Amino acid sequence: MASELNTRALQQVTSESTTPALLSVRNLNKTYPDGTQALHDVSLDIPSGQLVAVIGLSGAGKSTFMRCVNRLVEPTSGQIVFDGQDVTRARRGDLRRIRRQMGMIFQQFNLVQRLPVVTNVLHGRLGYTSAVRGCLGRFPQHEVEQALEMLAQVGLADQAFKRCSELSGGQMQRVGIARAMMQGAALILADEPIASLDVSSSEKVMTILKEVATAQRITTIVNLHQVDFAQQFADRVIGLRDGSVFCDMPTDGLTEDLIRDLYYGHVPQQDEED
Amino acid sequence: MVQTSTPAEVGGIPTDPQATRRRVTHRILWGLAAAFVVLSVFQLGITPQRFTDALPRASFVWDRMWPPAIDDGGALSTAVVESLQIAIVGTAFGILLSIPLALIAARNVTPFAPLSLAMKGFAAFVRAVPALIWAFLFIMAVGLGPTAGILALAVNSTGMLVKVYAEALEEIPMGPIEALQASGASRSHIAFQGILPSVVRLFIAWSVFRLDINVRYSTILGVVGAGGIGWELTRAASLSRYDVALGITVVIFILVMATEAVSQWLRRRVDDDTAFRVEE
Ligand SMILES: Nc1ncnc2c1ncn2[C@@H]1O[C@H](COP(=O)(O)OP(=O)(O)OP(=O)(O)O)[C@@H](O)[C@H]1O
Ligand SMILES: [Mg+2]
Repeated sequence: MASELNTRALQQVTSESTTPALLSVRNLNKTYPDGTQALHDVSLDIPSGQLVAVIGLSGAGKSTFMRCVNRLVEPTSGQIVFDGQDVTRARRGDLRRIRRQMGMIFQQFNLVQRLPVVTNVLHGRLGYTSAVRGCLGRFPQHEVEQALEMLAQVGLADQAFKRCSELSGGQMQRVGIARAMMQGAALILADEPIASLDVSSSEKVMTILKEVATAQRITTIVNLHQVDFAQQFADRVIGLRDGSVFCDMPTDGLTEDLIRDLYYGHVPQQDEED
Repeated sequence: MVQTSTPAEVGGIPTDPQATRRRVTHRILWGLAAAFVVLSVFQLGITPQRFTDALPRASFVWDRMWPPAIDDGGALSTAVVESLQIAIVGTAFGILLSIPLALIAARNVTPFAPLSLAMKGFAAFVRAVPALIWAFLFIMAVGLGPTAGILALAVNSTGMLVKVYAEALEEIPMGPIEALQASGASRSHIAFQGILPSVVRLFIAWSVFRLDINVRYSTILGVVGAGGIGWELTRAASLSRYDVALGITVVIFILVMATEAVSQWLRRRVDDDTAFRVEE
């Protein structure tokens, strides 16, 4: 029965839109084991090349949404189709193949501190690397060169052989971007990439993300706390509130009223927030 | 103990009844422990006379110990080398065995949660059995000689290394591991590229420390017939060659001290940041 539903949803997606969405999410629900309903019936289509900002209060479900897309979090129900592949039903091997087509960028950078910068960038290729080579960290010469090129692109050419632990936060996040770009992914998921950075580093990181999205037509989803950054950089803004899509529109359609509603317009729920 | 009232009572606040109960329990336990020691001394017949009687015997042995002698230098150096080999090979086997087991035992990286607990329990059991008992068991299994010693040390090391490795693993940051997962890296990729770099220094430090312990054990394993220099010591004692026994003891002493010095030097090097460079 579930599979029938899924195929129908899939057909709907492919028949409805003229340009098939790169990422299509249908009726996504996530309830954590402790009973927290973090996502409630989320449905979205994201076409190729868009930079989408997801905004909303802390606890609205932004991270949960993003982590369902690459299944770092298992969705409770619903369907996610990425580039024609059913993410939600993928088994281990298929999931790995899907994941390597999605780069992820984290608030805490999540680099392996003890390894050199360039090795961390090369980690973006692990999904394509054989077990032995990958384990030993022996990447082919052309990938090493590509990694150095990526580092040059994010302005870190001279830091390539330092240890990650020697970098500043803003530099670490740029390494994180280089690692995600190294995957050659069609989709980049960035979960609050600038929440731990100062304003100038934030500008730099967002500018790089924007460049990547436009120049290389890599679809990018960015969870953001700062609405002004969303307005400055995103093509489209999705507002999440209490696990549901509250608003979804091109960036210039986002009005002050909407923002106020999104952030302050749900006083009754206030008690449940942290 | 001179105080008649506790500080809590001085302030006029009634003492916590739970604290009082704990104090009473402590006194009872200490009393029982003291009674056990006294009882044991009587039961084992340990009287001052025993010690005074032993003195002439001790001085007889002592006199024949000097000067310390090396009877058969060739056999002794072979035994020293064998002891070191038992220690090094036993430690190496222990390390090789412990790394995968620790990956199962560590709560945060275990492939299956109940296995983690089972593995920790297994390691605790192995640890609880002393090395010499393992040596006896392996002598029964494979006969006298260094093989039994190597197996005994390997197993005994595993009991400890699985525990300390797993504890090191449980301290690692999970963020980078999640990042590698998200990029489609396989389990083995993550183990080597995400986990190992974070723990390798601690692993080396603990392994060297264990080698140090194993060199000590390897000198004594021979006493039960599991190879190495301990056997020479037993032989000298049974032939009443106390001077040779002292000579061998001095050699063991030097061996253990040297190992400790080397192990400390190695561990300092591991601590030193520049000592670790990841090859390109
Ligand atoms: N592992 C978990 N177990 C239980 N509840 C969780 C878990 N992770 C998140 N939640 C809950 O799910 C809800 C959504 O969390 P989520 O992290 O997705 O929010 P967010 O929008 O990313 O918030 P923030 O802006 O603070 O990062 C919250 O109520 C949170 O407490
Ligand atoms: Mg979040």
